[in-house]
Amino acid sequence: MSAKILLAEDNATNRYLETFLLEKAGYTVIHALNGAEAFRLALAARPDLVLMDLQMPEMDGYESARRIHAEPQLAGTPIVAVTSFAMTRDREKALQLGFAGYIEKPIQPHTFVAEISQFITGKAAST
Amino acid sequence: MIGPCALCSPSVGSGPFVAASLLAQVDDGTPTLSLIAFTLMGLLMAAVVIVSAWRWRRDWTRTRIREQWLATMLRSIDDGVIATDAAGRVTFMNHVAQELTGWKEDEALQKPLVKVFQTLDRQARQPTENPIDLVVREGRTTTSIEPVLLVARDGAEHAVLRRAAPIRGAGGQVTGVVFVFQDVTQRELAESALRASQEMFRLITDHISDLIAVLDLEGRRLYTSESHGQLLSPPRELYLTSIFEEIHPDDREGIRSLFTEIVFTGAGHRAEFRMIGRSGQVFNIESVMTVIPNKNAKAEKMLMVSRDISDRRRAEQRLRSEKEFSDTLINSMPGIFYLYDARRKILRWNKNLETVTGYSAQEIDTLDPLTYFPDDEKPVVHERMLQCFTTGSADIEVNLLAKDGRRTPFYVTGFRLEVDGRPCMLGIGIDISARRRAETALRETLDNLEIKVAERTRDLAAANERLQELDQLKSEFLATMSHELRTPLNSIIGFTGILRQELPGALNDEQKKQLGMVQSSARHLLGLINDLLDLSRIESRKMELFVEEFAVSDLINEIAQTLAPQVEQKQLRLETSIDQPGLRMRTDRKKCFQILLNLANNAVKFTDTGRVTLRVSTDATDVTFQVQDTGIGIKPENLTHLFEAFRQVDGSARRVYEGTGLGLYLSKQLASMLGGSISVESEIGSGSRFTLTLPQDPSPANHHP
Repeated sequence: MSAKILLAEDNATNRYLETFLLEKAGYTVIHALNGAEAFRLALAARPDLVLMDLQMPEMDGYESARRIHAEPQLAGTPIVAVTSFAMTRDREKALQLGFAGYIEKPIQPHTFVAEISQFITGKAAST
Repeated sequence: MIGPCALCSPSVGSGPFVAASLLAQVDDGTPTLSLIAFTLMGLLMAAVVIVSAWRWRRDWTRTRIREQWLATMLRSIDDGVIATDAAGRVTFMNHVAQELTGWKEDEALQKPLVKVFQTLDRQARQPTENPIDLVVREGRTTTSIEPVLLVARDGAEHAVLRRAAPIRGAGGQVTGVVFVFQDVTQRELAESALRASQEMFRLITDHISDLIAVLDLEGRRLYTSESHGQLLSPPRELYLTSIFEEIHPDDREGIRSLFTEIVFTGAGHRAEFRMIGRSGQVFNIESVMTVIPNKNAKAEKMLMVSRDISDRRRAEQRLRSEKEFSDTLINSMPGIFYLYDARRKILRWNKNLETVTGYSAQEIDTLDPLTYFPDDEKPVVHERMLQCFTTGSADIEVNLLAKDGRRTPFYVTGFRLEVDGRPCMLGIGIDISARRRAETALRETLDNLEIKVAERTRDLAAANERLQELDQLKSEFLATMSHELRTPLNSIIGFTGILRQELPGALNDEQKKQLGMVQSSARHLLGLINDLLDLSRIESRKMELFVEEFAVSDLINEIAQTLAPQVEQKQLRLETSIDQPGLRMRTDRKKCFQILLNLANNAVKFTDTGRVTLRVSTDATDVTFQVQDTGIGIKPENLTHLFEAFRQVDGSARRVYEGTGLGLYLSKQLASMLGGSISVESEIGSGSRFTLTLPQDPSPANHHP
């Protein structure tokens, strides 16, 4: 069974781009269009990794991540920020709030999957 | 007054002298008549005898009467009388002579005069010449001018004046001498006392400054004191001139009638008038005139005691002008003036005090000075008044309270001074309303100014805040924009990468080439966005440092790898060197990388042939990075503007060399943030050398944990 990645991204084009790369690499990708949805899907689907855009409508990535981490059954789920926030503060803030990683947009297609994979433990992407 | 006539010598007993002569004739005449009676005889004898007897009887009776009369007279006079015969033997002494000589007449008779009447010269105390010889010889009367001392039988002495006269017989021959002498001892004493008294009087009048004159009732001078003579008519004009002639014509008649009145009424009077002195100068005279009465209490003379009061008059005049001056001064001064004694009794004030306070002179004369001050200011005024009396002066700014309640601000200065030996306080006050108004106006102006300044400051602060807000907005806008721009760029760069990786499917060469162009443009656009983002961070001071320790060689390799595609494409050589192979440093690695990449990227960009050298050297504290190229170089005039924002050296170069014009500006700012610096040397046509110097370890202040 391939690793399951919850991708929270409000921008459809970017969602498609990342999904394309991840699925090409053999991961199962579930989409959430905002933070609240990401929280619900995380509870429901128990993903192996959450890729979280920080700026989203309704509930932003920070809040969503806080809620996910607040759920005991989701406590071990790694969350990686994928964001076009480029301020140093954002990276620090995210790491402090318990994000496992921080990937700046624009993503590099040839290294993106490799970067992602190191946060997924136990399960490998099916090829 | 007693005139010199009082000193006239009295005649020494002329009366008794004649009587003594008659007595001598009587003694002598009796035998002569007897002889005639014996000689005449005859018919007429009886008649003659009868007649003679009758006549003798008559004469004898007469003689007896005369003798008794003489004896009585000689007894009753106060002068001593002694008669002698021609040989100088005593023939008679009256009782005064007996008392003075101490000889009884019966004892002295027939004794030589010199034994009975012993006289000594007063000064020499030698016996005086016996005057009998002289009188007998020359037959004339001698008189002693000076008293001689009569030494009595018992040794008592009396000063006597004596006179000796010859006694002549019927034939005129001198038959004896009669001495008449007078005891002048008492009189001499009296005269001496009188002389002393007169001398003293003269001394007093001559040395007294008052002018003393004794006038007759016509005003003629009978006596003047020395001082009088010096000032007015000299003594030689006594009895000649009337004092009225010397009185100033304007005063003359007045004084003359006063004089008459005094004579008439006998009452003394004081008068002031002017006199004209010996040299024509005018004197102010104060004179007291008193009548000197005679024995009958009738006015006989006038005593006039005068005093030259010209100096006093002049002093009074000076005092008057002085007073007038000070009155004018204090009344014309613009402020108020007053003089109090220590018991707060007002002594003097000026008109202004009445004007300012509204009290009348009568009121001011009785009011306490504290009345002129409001109740709340009285204590401090009182305290200053005491201070003035203690220290000599005091001043105060105070409101003057007028009778109608009006207040006027005054500046009052007090001085202590002595008036008639009593400590007093002189106060001078000036109205400071105008100054107060000016001060108030000034204060208001200042207050207004302060308000205006405060307003302006507020405005500026608000403007500044607004600017900061705008700046913040700008920075936020830039951050948002960069974020918003990155989102589509993410797609562009992402999909381009995916396509070039041929993940969706195979591409032909032309497609690959064009997708490369898209990717290159997208990357350039990303660079621009990143630069702008950095610029906004720097300008809003939001750039933060992330200090970490790293190996310099890794950094250099990374740059070489990043630039490798371009270097290879332009067929250049990139050479790197590090003087210490294991060199590590602590700084913000990412920013250091950014600077060096920018410098190296520029070097590659502006070099067409040759090489780019990246050289690292160290000293005790710094690490120096040199990026040298063999490119086109930079004109000297452009070197100064090289590190300014939005400048690319040659405007025309834009078409050939891509860039935002922000690279060197950002590099310089970043280097500065890291505590280092960038410099450049260049030569047109042969290349440039940029030098970045950074501290090997930033100071603790810049140290990020």
